[in-house]
Amino acid sequence: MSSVPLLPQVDVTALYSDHHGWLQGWLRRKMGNAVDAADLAHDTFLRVLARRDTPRLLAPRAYLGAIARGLVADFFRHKDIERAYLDALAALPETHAPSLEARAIVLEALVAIDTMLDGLKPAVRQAFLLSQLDGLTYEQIAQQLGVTKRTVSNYMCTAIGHCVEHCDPLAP
Amino acid sequence: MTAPPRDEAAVRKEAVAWYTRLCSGSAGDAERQAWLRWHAAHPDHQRAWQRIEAMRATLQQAPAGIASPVLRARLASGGQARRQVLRSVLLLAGSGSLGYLSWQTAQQHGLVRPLLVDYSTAIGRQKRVALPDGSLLTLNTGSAVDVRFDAQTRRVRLLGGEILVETARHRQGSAAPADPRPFIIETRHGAARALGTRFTVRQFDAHTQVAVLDDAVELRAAQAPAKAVIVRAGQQARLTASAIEAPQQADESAGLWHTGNLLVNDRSLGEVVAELARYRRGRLACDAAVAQLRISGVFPLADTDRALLLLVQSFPLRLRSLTRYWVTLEAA
Repeated sequence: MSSVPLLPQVDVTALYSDHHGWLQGWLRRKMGNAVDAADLAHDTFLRVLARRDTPRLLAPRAYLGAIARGLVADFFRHKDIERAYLDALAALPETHAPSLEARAIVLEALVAIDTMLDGLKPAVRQAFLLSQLDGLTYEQIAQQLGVTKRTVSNYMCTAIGHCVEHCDPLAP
Repeated sequence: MTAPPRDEAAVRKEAVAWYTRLCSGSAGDAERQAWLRWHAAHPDHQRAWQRIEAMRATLQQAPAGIASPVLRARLASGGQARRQVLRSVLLLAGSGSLGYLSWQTAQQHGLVRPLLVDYSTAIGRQKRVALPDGSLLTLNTGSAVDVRFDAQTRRVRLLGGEILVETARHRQGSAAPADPRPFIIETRHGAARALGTRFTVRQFDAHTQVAVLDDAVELRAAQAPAKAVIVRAGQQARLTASAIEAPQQADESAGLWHTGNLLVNDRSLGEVVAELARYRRGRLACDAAVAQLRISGVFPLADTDRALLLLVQSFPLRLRSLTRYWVTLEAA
């Protein structure tokens, strides 16, 4: 974090000493365990430090809570995808088992895609994945989802528009 | 080259609509050509398309074979429901190719997702593209290619314009391990298989022209694939969908465009202007009275304004332009 320009030290220090205990307790209730709660509380303050434009805080707990909520959502997304990924790997022949490093890379990529798709209706998401990852035609997707080709086309337009807004334009 | 800027939201909508159409599975070459024209028509179109490419890049970071079932299973709530979804999708996908797909990304394998144009250039631009096997493509002005590498073949489809191909074998020499998969460039009119090699392929409306710079290339017309014609270094040949003309000596300037210059040795002004027009938006023409004027020189392709200036400075010509997009050369 050395390259991050720090806010006036006193702000964060005060924020930390006044609210860290509260935040960690709040997170412990959300997460159900102290270890994850401590990690996420730590990450929350890292985010605060990394933000150059932290507003003058009138409601510091609401501010910390909003950041923490985002981190909790990411945490569960990550866990959830990891579980689905491991389930999928378990279903494959063992000779194909990827290395731990390869797994970590794939997991990051899966999380990035899932984040990009966040907020799409299930059917729209399904159509998009079948098209972009499985290479199905709209005809085939229409059959699989039991809708018309025109509906698939509308789904795709919605999904692509959404992803274009939500993808990281700096992705490789 | 300053075109008036277009409304960003409207252009983004157009890009999304184009991508939606191109992905349908029923879009043909005509639609791709139409997309290509849209893409080349305005720099804002290219900027909007970069967002589509960023989206595709995000998708391509994960191996398709595993990403699709995992991300679809995310919708099923509860562990058991999820495992059921996973099982069914994994079974559907078949286990043959799933192994490596479970961790290697599409990019590493050169298995770029179906559809679409993988690489393209705007009018007046050139682009170098390194392919997964170590081969190099250079796209000339207003060109587009699809790249399809699989276990059997390395296939590049030229959708429009012109490319220079330098295969890995040619670039690295015979010391490098040979890739056993044939390297094939396809156009509307047929296929060119690399035997070595360094060559250019340019697609016109009614024919494709192949000029071989090193080693050799084997041509086959789309409608007569049984008959192969070998074109050797220093030769060029035209290929229509039904026939291949006998190879002739290549133009001495063949393939030089990738240096960014147009080398002209005693050619008519009409030919030179037609060539420069490829690198320039709008209409560029010359008066019939001067079309036969003999021209020699070196003209920069990235800056056609300067090329035109060089012409009027060196020859008895002057420029008449109604707008920047409508320029005629005439007798001074």
